[in-house]
Amino acid sequence: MRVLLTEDHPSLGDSIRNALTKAGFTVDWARCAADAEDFRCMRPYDLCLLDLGLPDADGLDLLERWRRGENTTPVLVLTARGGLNDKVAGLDAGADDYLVKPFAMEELLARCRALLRRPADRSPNRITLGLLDIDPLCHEVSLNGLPLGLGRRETQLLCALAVRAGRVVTRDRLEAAMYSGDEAVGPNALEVTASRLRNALANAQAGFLVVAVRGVGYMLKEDMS
Amino acid sequence: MRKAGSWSITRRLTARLLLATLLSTLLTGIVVALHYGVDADDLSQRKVLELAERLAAHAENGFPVAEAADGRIFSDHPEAYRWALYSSAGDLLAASVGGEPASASDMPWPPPPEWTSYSDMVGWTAGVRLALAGGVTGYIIVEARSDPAGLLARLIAGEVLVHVVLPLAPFALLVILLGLPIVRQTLKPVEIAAQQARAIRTMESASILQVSDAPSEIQTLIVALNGAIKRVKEASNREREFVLDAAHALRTPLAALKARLETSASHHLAGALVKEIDELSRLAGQLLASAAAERLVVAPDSRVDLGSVTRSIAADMAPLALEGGIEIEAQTPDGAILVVADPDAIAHALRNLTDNAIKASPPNGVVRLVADSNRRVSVIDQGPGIAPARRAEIVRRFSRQTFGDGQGAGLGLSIVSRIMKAHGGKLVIEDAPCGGAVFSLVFFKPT
Repeated sequence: MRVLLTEDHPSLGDSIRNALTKAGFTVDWARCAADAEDFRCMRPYDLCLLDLGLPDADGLDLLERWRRGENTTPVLVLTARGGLNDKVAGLDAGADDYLVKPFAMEELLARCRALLRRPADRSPNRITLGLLDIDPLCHEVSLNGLPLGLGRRETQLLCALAVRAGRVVTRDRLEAAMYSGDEAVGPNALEVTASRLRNALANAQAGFLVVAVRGVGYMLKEDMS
Repeated sequence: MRKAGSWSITRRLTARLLLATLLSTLLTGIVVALHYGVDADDLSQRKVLELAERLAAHAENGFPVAEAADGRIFSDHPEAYRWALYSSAGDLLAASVGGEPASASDMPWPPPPEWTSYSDMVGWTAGVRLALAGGVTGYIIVEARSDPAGLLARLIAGEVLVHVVLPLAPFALLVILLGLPIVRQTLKPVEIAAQQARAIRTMESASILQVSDAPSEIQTLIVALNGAIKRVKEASNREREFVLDAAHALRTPLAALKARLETSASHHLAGALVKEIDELSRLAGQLLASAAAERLVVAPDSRVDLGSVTRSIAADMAPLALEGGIEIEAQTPDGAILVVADPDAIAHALRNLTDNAIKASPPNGVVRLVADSNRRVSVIDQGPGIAPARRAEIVRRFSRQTFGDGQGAGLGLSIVSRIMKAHGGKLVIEDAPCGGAVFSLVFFKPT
């Protein structure tokens, strides 16, 4: 896995490169926007880490240029910007995720792995979470290589939760992912499916919990116990 | 906006224009009156002759002369005004109460058809010839020794009326009717400029005032105003860039320091130092948010659905809360609750309150985010609550909150409060029914 790191701060860039290298990534480090462009011309990358405050250009402009070039390489924005908008404009400009400085290196690695789980065409055909292996197209979920025997709805729910594992997925989004527009959805349909999925995962000791956030949605969470 | 009691330019100009019209009318009247007053002799002569003619006309119609229109002056002031009627032979036919005019004896005979004479002793005398009943010629003479009835003044007043008031009245009326519209029309560029200035909501969106056909004086004011707008806008942009630059300049070294400590975590102090760095960077973030909140202006066309913000903040914060064993719940109505608001600022405020609530919660506690259609979002925790006496204090800057780990610079609630003020709403702190605190974002402005 080759990562393009664009960061102008020498010490921070050095630390990130070391951490990524230790985690098994191959890292090219660009210290300014011009360098980053040169790197990208030379070879394709699996992931880009982009600092917004670069000495020679605004990172957001660079990002927009990349997206205009129909480049779908996932981009994780590293930003020090803040003020009132904790969600950074970068997400609108085409970033796949963002991290506000300072961040824990562990968090950075986790986000990188999460982005690499998502294929560039944004319709995941295979998701691997711990011992779970999910194939959304064939509606198959296997644990440690053995089929889990989930129903169609449960598999759809698991897929929708798995692509955003560790984060809450809202009801609206789940229903949109599970039911087509003309299907009548009973008021408790999602609850019933979620409850079945929760039991199935617990019985199989899959290592993941389905957590309900009342009034909001559900979250797939790693079982720490 | 308009100071009570101060006059608008329109009213001032209109009033002054009216005053000027009235004054000029008055002045013209005085000049005319003076003109006639200087030539009082001529006027008196005319007045006496006119009186004689009137008496003659009266007599010709067969009425007793004493009952003439002005007859009363002869009975009221017999010493001052006298008249007499003579036949063609010079016989006295009738005379006023005061008797024959003294000057009758000096009258030439036969008198001319119309004559006047003056003497220092008796003043003005006038005579006219007339045709009495049956075609007989007669003569009437009138004498005014003095003028106690104010005939002369009345005559001058009449002249003023005819020569001044009547011709000037339509002019004054026109000034009154047209003055206000004319002044309004002339001042229209000022109103246009004011409208444009009123439309400026935020300095980012401020555009210069453009009034094409303004008079030069007003153009000067507009140019000066545009200069001021430009300078304030530049200052505002510089300030915003400073906030962004400062954020970058502060946080990047902190991030580098933290990364160094984490990757070389052998030292026993590393963990503690990382915590301190997090605290510092949180303070930096809060200072920036505070600066942003101070200059927050809500765009009037920016709408936010409070229900959707509530759900999204609950979703964002739930993983963090669950890690600490705290549950988060959202309660939102089916329909949208639309308010005029800045989406980033509202999300920031709600995140802040939720973060506080999580910190204040006991183990296994529940934090509830409730949006109700009354344009209010409440964050309810099961912590110790906030004593009423402390509620005002904790909203002030740099006041430390006692709940949770006692960390934080105490800027969070002051930022929330400032954000709500910028929205014309407020932050309300109450007790939850079963203990715990309720922090509510309350919006007043109906959408």
